[in-house]
Amino acid sequence: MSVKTLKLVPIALLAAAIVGAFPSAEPVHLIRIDKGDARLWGTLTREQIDVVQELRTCYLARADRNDIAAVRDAGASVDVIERNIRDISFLLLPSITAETRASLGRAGKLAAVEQEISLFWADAGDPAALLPAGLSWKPLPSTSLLPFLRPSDRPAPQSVVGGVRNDIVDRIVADVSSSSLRSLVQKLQDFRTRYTATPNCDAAGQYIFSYFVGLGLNVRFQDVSYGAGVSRNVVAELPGKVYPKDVLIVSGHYDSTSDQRTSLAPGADDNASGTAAAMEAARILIRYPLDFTVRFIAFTGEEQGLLGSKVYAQDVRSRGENVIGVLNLDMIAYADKLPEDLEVIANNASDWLAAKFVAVSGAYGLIQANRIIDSSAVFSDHSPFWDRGYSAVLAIESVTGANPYYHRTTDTIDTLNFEFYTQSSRAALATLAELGQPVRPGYPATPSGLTATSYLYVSLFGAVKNIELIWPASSGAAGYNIYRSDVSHLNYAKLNGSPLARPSYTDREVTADVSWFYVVTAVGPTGLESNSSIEVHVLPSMAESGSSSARQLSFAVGGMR
Amino acid sequence: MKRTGILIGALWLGLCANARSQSLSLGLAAGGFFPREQTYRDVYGSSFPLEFEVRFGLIKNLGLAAGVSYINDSGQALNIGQGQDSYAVRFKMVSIPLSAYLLFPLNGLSLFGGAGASVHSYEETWQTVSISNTGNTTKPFIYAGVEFRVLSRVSARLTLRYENIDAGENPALAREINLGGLTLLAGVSVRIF
Repeated sequence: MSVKTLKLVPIALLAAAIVGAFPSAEPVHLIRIDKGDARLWGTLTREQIDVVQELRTCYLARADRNDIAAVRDAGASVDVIERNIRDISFLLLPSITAETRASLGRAGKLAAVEQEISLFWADAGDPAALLPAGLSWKPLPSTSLLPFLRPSDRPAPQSVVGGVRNDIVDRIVADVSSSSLRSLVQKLQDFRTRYTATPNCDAAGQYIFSYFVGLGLNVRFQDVSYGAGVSRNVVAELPGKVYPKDVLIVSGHYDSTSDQRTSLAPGADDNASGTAAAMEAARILIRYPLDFTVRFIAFTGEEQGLLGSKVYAQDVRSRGENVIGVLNLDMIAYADKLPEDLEVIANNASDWLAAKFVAVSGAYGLIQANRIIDSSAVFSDHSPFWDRGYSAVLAIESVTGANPYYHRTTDTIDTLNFEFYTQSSRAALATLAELGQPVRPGYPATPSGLTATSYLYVSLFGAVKNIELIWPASSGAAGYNIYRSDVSHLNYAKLNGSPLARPSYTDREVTADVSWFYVVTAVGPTGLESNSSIEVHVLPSMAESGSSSARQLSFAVGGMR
Repeated sequence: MKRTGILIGALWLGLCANARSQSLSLGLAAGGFFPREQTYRDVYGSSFPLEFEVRFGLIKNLGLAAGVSYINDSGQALNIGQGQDSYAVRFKMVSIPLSAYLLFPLNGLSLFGGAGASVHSYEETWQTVSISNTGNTTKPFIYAGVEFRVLSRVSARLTLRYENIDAGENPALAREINLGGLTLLAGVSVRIF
């Protein structure tokens, strides 16, 4: 070996050390993880897998080879959809025709991820630009949703016990006016197009803003970037009298599209109908103060990949707002026959809200609402709320006998069925009012500040919890009632016999590994019972993943309604 | 599980019947059980099993053993958090171990080691709450020990046994409970023939 060669050895060693100290980034792949085993969630959480979408049968995730190995080691079925995806944008598409499939296959890459759901992407550029006009889509989130996805917190109700009708809600429902809805839809249609970021769309947004202002609501615009331009969500708020920081949302997107989208997209059903129903709800509820805050939101950019709702949901999550539930109304006015059903679609975590909607609609004799649990129904403005861990449902006309004018210039007011539309609007408003709780003059004040503390006792095979509930005394209260349920906002059963004299209660020896939901009411001297307090959610007690000691148990109490 | 126990018993009896028995001993032992499960230790601490054993010496160094082991413990449910209440709990387990062993005489002592399977039947009961969990399982075990003769037919024995007993999940803990661990037994055995 020559001296020159020997001199190169330390240089080579130094270079190797530098390379070793700064290893090249591990390639990230897009994978599909079959939901299969119920214990999969524990694995995803433990391994901190970047789940970017939950669907009906699978999760989509960004993962490197170590993540993939960990998930496979846990027994889950994993398919790699695309390798090395660092700068690739993916779009989720609903069922598409064979012709569209062939066309997209030529323009980019297409992969079926489950029945009726495909992913579309291109090696370079924006894949949305390659889509045919009128196709619904959702951009696949690029950041992990894992912190927000909590699939088991709110169990599905097995059955729903019939509720009691509230006389004020009865009046609210009766106030929904078919002619008022017709007038609002006509006004929105008269903008000719509400295609996002067109001047007409901006004008429609301004009209909705002014309408809410005219009602006396707090209203604001929220800017939403679209291409080089900006469009605007319209957000109106009716503050709650008891729980101003706890929010219910009724929404509809006001933008529209068609094959002549910049000149003629009347969008009467899609979605002047949902927007007008939210506006009509505001017109009525302004006269009925509620315990909880209600927001009436007209989203923009829905047809461009849920732009407006995505920005809004991210915003409320980043501000840590307690959004109790979202009723997203999208196409609720077309019926090919009567009677027509209304579909109420939820993911697993929002099942309680769909069940509540169906129960309320039934209790008030409004419309046949069908509760559908489908995490793959991600093509409307409820989906970004799911992605941020909020409960949200989509109310939409039956897919059987679908609107033939969908995304066409012929989606006009004369094709709508106002009998069906009025009833579906009433069902949504009744649900909103039941959750928001109209203030009842002469009744004791609604208790506020309910908190729950959970004490867990564990043996080898058993566990019980003692749950201590405390709340501040309510004015005008002679006593209190405590109600408990194992599903959120439904099926409450009273725990106490006669009203409690003191504002506290301990629920002893309850099952530890399920969710419990509590509300308290105040009872006046004459026996009148107040509205319910905010619901507190006592989470199931679970060991931390990989725990080897009972002392590492985590137990949590949620204050979210 | 029950069928497995019956099969093991039948195999054991078959071996005994077909072997030219050279010895039969009866033993009684007590000692300490040191559970591997942290929850067990926290709730019940260490426990004190009792065991009765029958041993057949088949050929020179090989034998078969069967017995009954009993654990009866009481404790307090773990208080996770700052709760003021306490809940008394009780755990009982009856095990029927069946095993084969090898015996190695060594300067007046005998070393022995063996392996087999135990049929376990257990029950945990909360004393003031209506919670009771029962289960049955059959799991393998290994053991080793030393024996020395005290009288002509009486021996003292020291046995160390290890068992791994997966016994199902505690939903509140969201993980499997293991009832296995180390058992140290001291006892006497009497040779019948």
